[in-house]
Amino acid sequence: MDDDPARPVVRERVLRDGTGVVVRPLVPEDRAELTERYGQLSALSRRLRFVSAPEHLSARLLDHLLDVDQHDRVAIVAALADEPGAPGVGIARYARRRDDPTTAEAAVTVLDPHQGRGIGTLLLTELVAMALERGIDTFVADVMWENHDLLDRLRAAGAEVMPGEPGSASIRVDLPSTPDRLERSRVYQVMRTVGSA
Amino acid sequence: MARDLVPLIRPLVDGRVGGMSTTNAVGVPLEPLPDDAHLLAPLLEFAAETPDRPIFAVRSGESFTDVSVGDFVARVEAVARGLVAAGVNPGDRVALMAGTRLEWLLMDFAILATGGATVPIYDTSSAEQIQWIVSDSGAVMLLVENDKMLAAADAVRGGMPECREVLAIDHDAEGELVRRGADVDPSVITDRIAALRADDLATVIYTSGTTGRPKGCVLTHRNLRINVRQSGLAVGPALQPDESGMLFLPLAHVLTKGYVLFGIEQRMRCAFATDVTKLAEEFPLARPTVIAAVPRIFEKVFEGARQKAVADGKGKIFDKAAAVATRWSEQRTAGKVSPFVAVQHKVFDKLVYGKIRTAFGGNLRFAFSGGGPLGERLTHFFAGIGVDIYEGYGLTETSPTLTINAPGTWKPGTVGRPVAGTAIRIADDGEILAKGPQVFSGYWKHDAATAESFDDGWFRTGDVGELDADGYLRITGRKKELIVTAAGKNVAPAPLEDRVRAGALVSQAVVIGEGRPFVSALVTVDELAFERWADAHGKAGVTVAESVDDPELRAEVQQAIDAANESVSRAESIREFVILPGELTIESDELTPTLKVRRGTVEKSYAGVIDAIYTR
Repeated sequence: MDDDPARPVVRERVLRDGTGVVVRPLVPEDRAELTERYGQLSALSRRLRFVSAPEHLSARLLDHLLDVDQHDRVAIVAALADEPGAPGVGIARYARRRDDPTTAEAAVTVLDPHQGRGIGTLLLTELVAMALERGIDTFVADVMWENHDLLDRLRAAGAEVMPGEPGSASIRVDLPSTPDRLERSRVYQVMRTVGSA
Repeated sequence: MARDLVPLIRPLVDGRVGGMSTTNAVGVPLEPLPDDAHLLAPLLEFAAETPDRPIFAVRSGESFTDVSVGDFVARVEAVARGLVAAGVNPGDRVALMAGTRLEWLLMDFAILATGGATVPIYDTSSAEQIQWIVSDSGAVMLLVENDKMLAAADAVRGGMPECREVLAIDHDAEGELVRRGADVDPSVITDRIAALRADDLATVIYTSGTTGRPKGCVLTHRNLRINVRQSGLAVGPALQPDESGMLFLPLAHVLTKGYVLFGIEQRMRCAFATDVTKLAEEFPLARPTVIAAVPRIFEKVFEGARQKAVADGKGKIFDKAAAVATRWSEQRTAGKVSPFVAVQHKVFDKLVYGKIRTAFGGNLRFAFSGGGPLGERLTHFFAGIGVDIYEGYGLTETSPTLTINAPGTWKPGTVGRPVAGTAIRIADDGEILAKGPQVFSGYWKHDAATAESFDDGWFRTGDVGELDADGYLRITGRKKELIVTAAGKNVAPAPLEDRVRAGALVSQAVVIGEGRPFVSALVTVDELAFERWADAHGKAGVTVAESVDDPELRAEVQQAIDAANESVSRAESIREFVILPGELTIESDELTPTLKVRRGTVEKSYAGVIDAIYTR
């Protein structure tokens, strides 16, 4: 694990199907690509990610999405290593809660054609590791109830699923106490199951 | 109508609770319906027993005129022959779009008498909706009320290929059908009715999903009839001979449909209000003893009475009387009314409560309430003035009643206990699951949605709730992203918001309307798009915040609202909107830290703005 949390971490990974993937922090230079990739998301993916999702990201939403300090607001990108320009195909982020600094809200998005390849798992694994290093022990998320598959898997893996806002479930996952126990922990199972969706 | 002080709540003997657990509750056992039961039987029995008794009443001049059940049944049979002549066969669907009037039920029963099924369409539906419902259901005929609906249907005629003809009630559809059916032997109808089976299709009622097009709920004769029996068993102890009813909500709503079927089984006379806005005038003319209503009606009566009292300088007395009525009912429910409250209650009964009862015509004893949550306070208030409200719970998919508050099993704030033959279970995630003979078999031609709506034989209501130890159900949330207005209309906000957001200047739209009389929207404006627009309209340098009331900006946003409204009925359409001075923010929790829109917080943040919309 990284000694200096502020230092950008780039990891090379290989998907089950052999595709090489680079996981790297989101940077301000990603602005144009983020806009483009958002436009490529299906309406359903946008809705499941943002609930009431605009068709295009406004400048302001983009500002927010790019406003990361890699400590309280972390965002990482999965890019296809072997393709020209290493296009980003997935993004995961968490934002530390102001009222409860050991808890963060997490979200992950993978472009529709690349869903089901293990990219989500990969991103979440990195995200959890980063969260643990930064003193976070719980992930929460709002997940729309119509996201049946995800909820079923979350539940099976032991996540707490409670009724939230109308239309959404409120998810809570305890992270393992230390990064080295990650692989044996429940959350890892959650991530594995989620990522293999 | 002052009551004695005997507590209404009797020992809990009419219901059994499954093992005292808090995740299961079941109603009393219920005898199944015979396989040849159908919805026409109670009507025909009523007519055979007492042909001269009134079944309905319609407004004429300054009073209501009775329609005898014998005459009504004769008209049903004559129209049914006309439908047969028009080629309506058993199993065919016929769409019916009309306001709440006698002809609605005349056509409905005539359709059933041919062996067909009625597909109701709300009278405020848009052309787009008419086309969808008629074509999806494969209706062979469309019956509408007036020229406006005729025009809307004509505009989309090409999109409903299976619909052979459209007739309008206002253009004497009844006379036309009676003429056409003159050559059809009456025995054809007798035979078709005799051939009806309990599991035959009776109606396909379309309901909004959270996304996509409305889906048709398939309800059989058995579903609807058994539910009438279930409601009747629950409220039986409150019924007296010669009850009288009043119809004013859309018959396309299954609650109203269930109520009128209940009325027929009870041999009750039902008066048709000419319009829901005329209730203040027509309640005293029809003097119903039992009604079915949505929370909005009770709120309106309460607010109306209060405003009148305030205008007369009696606001303080009214508030005091209301507080006493509420306390009296609370104490009665708990088992003992204190002598002090009892005396106050008697005094106010003369001074205040009698006047409020007059608003309902003076004879109203009880009411069914459904379609949305009625506040505990309001329920106690009305009980305190002598009108017991039996709030129930259910969905179109459940014909509708699953649980109900009833005499002896009455707990305001809950939606009561399961009706006979019904089981309610709370799933691990809090979702309310239901089983019973009133639960539908599925959505019309939509197997995927049907499969999703059942879990191991249990119907998934999509609502979240809890059962208390006595088996009373309390609704605490909703899994479906739906808004339920005070009028009981389900509105899917997401498709509306998508359409509004497609407007050039709109960045975000949040549809509001839960428990409100109509649907409204909060709209944010994209700053960059606004700058360009402002430049082009000679408003360079002006900010969004300065322009929220600018008529030109509002007109621009109104176009986006209008586009959204084209896809829905008037009851679901956005009637008002407010342009917010800025975007939704994370700082105010309107967006979650990962930028998900949080409707609940948006509503709280802009509570003042929203209240202003609804008090205009």
